[in-house]
Amino acid sequence: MELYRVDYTLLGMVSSNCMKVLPISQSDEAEKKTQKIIVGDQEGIVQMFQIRKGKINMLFKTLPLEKITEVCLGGALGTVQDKIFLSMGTSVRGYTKKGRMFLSFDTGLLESIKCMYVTGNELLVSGKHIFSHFNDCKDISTYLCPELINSILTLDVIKMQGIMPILACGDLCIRILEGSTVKETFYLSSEPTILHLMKNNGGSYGNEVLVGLQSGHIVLLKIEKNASTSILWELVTQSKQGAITCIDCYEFNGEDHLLIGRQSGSVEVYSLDSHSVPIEKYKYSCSESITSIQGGAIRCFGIPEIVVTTFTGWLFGLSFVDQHIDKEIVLESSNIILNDEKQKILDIRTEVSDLERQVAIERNKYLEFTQKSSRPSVLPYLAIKNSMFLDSEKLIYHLIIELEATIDNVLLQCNCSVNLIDVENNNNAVVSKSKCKEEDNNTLLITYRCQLNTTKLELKMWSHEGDQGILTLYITPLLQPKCCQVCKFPIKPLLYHQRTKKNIIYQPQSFMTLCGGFSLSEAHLWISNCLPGLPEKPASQENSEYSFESIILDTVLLCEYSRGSINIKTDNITAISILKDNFSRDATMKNIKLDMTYEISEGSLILMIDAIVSKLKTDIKNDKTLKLINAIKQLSVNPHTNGESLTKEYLIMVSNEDKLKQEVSQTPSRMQRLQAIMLALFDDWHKLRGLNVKPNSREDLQEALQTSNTLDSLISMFEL
Amino acid sequence: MDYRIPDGVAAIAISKLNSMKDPAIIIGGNCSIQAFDYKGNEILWTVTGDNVRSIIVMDIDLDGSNELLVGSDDYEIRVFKDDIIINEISETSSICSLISLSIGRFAYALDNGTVGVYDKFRRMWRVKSKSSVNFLEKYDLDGDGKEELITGWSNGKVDARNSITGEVIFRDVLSNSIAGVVVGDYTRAGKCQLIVVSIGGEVRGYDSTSLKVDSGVQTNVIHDLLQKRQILMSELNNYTKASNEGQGIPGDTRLITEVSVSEETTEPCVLLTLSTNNSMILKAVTVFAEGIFEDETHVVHPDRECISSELKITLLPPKDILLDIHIRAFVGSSEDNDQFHVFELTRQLPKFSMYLLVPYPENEDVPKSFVKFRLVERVQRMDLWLTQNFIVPQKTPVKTNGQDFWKIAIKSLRDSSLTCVMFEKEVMLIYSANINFTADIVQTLASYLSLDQIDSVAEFPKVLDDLRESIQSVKTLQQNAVKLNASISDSSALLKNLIVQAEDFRLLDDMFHMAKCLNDIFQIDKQMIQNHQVTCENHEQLLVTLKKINNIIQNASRLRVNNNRTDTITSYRQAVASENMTILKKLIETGNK
Repeated sequence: MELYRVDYTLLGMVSSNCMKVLPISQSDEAEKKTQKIIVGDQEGIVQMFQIRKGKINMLFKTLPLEKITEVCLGGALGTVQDKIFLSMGTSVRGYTKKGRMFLSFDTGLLESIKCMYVTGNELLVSGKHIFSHFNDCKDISTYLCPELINSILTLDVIKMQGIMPILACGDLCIRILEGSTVKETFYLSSEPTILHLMKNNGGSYGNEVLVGLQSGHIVLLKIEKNASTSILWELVTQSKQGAITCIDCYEFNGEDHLLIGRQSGSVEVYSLDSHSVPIEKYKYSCSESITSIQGGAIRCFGIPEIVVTTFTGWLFGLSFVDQHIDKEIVLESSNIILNDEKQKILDIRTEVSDLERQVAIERNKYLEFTQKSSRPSVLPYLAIKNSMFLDSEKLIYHLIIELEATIDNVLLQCNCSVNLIDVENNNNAVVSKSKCKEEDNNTLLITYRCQLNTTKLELKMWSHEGDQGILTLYITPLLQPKCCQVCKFPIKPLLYHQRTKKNIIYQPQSFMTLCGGFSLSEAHLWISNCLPGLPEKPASQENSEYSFESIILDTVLLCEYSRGSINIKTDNITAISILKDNFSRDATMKNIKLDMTYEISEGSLILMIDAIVSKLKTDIKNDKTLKLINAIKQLSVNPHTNGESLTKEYLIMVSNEDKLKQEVSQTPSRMQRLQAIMLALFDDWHKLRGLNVKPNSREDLQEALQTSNTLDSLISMFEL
Repeated sequence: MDYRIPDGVAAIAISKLNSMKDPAIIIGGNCSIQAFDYKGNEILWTVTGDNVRSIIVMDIDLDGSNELLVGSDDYEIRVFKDDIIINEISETSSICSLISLSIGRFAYALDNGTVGVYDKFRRMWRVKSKSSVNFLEKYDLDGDGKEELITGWSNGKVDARNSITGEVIFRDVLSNSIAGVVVGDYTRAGKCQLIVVSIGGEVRGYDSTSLKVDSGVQTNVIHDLLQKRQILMSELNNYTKASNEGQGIPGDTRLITEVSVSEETTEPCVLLTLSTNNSMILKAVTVFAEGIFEDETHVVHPDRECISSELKITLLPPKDILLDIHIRAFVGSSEDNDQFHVFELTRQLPKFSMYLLVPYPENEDVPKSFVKFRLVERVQRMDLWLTQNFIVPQKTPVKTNGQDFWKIAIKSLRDSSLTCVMFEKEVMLIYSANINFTADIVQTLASYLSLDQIDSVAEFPKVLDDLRESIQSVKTLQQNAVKLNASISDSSALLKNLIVQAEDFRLLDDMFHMAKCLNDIFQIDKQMIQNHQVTCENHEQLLVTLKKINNIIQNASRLRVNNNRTDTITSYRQAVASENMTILKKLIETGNK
């Protein structure tokens, strides 16, 4: 499959899934017209247009209002779904395809609408935590979700004989509701970011849902009427491909296709089937994240095209040059396009020169202002999309910054030690590390000087557990007057613990209990200062429970708190020590007296050591092997002596070099990190147990950690 | 023919030089450039500032005869005509590669990842990347009759750029670092192809068919235009939506910079003081300058408690070159703002910024070595020369009577040595222990006052001693090398014998003697490794000493300005070769035999 890109226009900021291609009406089909596109942007402008002769032909455009957060298509069930619904603030508006507003409805939601889904006369909306269901604008049910809601939808109303709302939640699960109660919680391997009905209607039984995950995987779920859920298939892709931001299903050439847009900027087309994992047919990469993706014949009648919008507002099409399509049509249309494009270029040129004039006037005005006035000058904020997430396979954090305008440079500052890993292929920026002075309390000062037309920067990094600080980014766009915006990311001490599924039967052997005169929200704050992935507010008023898993050591951490008490259970002794230090510091700051009891069991220690040693062994072995391979390769200067002088074992070793290197690069610097963890465990064990460290034993341990055969007797170095 | 060049060979070019009929071999080594004709006779020898990295021969000034372009480790590209330097171009890092393009143009690459093109002596464009350049080549990829600049990068990228604009017209990525790029008619198609090899052994060929046809020009035009529209709209938005409420800074906020030389800091340095004209704070400052920091940018981000409206930045330029520093200051009303205004400005540091001007000292503190020459000039021009090349404090320590008497002392911040410059009754006297710095002063004076000729008298007894010592040590080092070589060949002969003997004993089943033989082999082997290490060290030392001698000669010749300077360099060369210290002394003192 081969596609080529055609840029249509640059829209300005458009939220995710706010561009839709209208299904073709019968009259249009008869006249061989192309499909219409509807876009709702962040200024609040709704516009519908058609591509005619390669140019935008505006059909209607409203005045700016409030930021539009979601656009849905709907209509009476069984008819063409060409009614346009959009959400802004707390209200929902409906437009006909002629641009007439037929609905303006305030949902009365306490937060602004983030997700919306419309089918027939059912309207589902949700903010960050509140979900509401309306039927004909009448309130049917509401549900307060303890976690962040990422996406909502309902299964086919007719086929399922009723409404069954599904919520994609931040705690790695989907929640299936019945009325205002959760009927089923189904956990996934990663955070679900987007939901979409299979083949746009839920499949032949209307009960299949595609789920896009943060990890970049896609899962097809089958949900029965009794809400029991099962996975039909999971599309596993390399983790570096990035989170899924939008999904659409599109049928062309008599086949169903799955269209996927990712945060990394890649657009993918798969063949789609309920019974088997999709097969990739086409892939396109652009430099920005994809915000919405749709399929439709928008430029030439009958020629399918993939329509994509990006973060900074590019609307472009990926057209098919497929064998099945009549070549003459393509040729003819591309001729027209050439001529049309000339006109289009002229049009834009005039527009740009007009703008240049206008900008010159305003620039002078501003200059005058800076010469005379002492009134403050505040520049408008630019939209920055930043996300920081954990790659649990590589054990590193990804930080992605995306800006509305092109980035000139980024300054990175941090006050705790963070190790950055160079991202070679995604960034073209020139990196420059600066020396840090101790008295300035900096440990990291890096500037990224971006090349022309960069709107996105991706960073990868890792830190040691226990380090705590704030990573500050000063992002300067290439815009006059120059101004930078600040983004801050907390580096939490237990950054490598991840929220996990609730039902853990195993009981860890060590624990810590805190009692004192603190409130529930204080306890929640203290815990979320240390552990990632907690919601903003406590989930319930009385008792909250969360479980975490260390992605490095696979130990479990159970955390239970209520007003005046916190219970931590884990085998991770270092985690207890870190939490203890942080809690007591936070409490002292607020002058709260804490009663702290803890018990550190030997069983936990053995468990920890085993967990570290088992991984460290492979790492040390790989490290040694790689060094050995390097040495062996230097031996064979003369290619003829290569095979004869080496034993079979070494030959195999050398031939496996690439594989091994690949394997090691999967977990960058894990060996050093595990060694550091072991030393921290040694310190914490003795500290919490109140034991004196034998002279030189720490140095001995350090030495023992370098070779794999001394690892089995490590336990003897700890005082029991 | 077999020649040994004791300096080592770092770059080589074969071409017709200026007035020569036959092509010559030009060799760049350790601070020196030599040329040989086809018979192997040395026809040119001259010195240059540092190790030569790249040499090309081309007609850069379009006068019909070829010039020699030499890129060296001291960031300079020097242009020689015969053996006179007719131009010097200062770059920001070591020059690792040069290549001539069409008429009067050449491309260069630096160690810090910069690639650029000069048209005559004017830079047309340059780009900097985080990876380093491994190879430069020229090839007409798009078939338009003009050759593009092909760059092979250390990260495996290959790109082709328009040599005039620097615009990338093609790029590809190989999985390993690029080992080489060549152009040749590999397929015998009558048309040359571009062939790229990576260190992993991957070979790829390109020609005009490699360019993608469908990425038509028109779509790019539309893309660029739309993007431009977007940028303009955002800027317009910035002006129209700029409000006067909230956490902004007053419109008339200014950033004041001051450059001074400070001895009070823990380490003497150039001090850059930034401040605002009101109470606005400086959250952070980045300073971009090439060649003075480890990387290209230095960041100052003070601790929360120490944030104020003033910030001091210490700079330590390692070399005496004119520096452009680009300052970017983040200014705001409070340190917790999430928006800061960015002030961008560029300041220039003079060539001799690491020197402090001090009042003229008492007689006993004045260094003994000196250079003296006649100079007919007004003292006012001397003041101007000083302000252009030094950071002059507000209260100038220059002593002058305004007519024919002018003196100043200069203290180096690097080693706090003193240099005294005295101008009295049309005689210029520079007292300094540092011959290099003195030569620099003479050269800047000459270029500032546009003097064609300075015939000076110099006395640097210490430098002369150094030279004598160096020449002596070269002799010993060369003798050592011969001795070591002899001992190595002895040992290897012995080894050969022993190996045969050991084999004989093995066949005779005489294990005792065989073991003994092998033991001997082991001992001799150990000894040889040791010998080899000594040889390496010896060679290393030889290179250092040769470099030192070349440097002294260059500096001594730079004490004067003369278009016939090269004769002197040849005289130096002969004097060094014949170890004639009297001639050398005379040469350094007067510039003539």
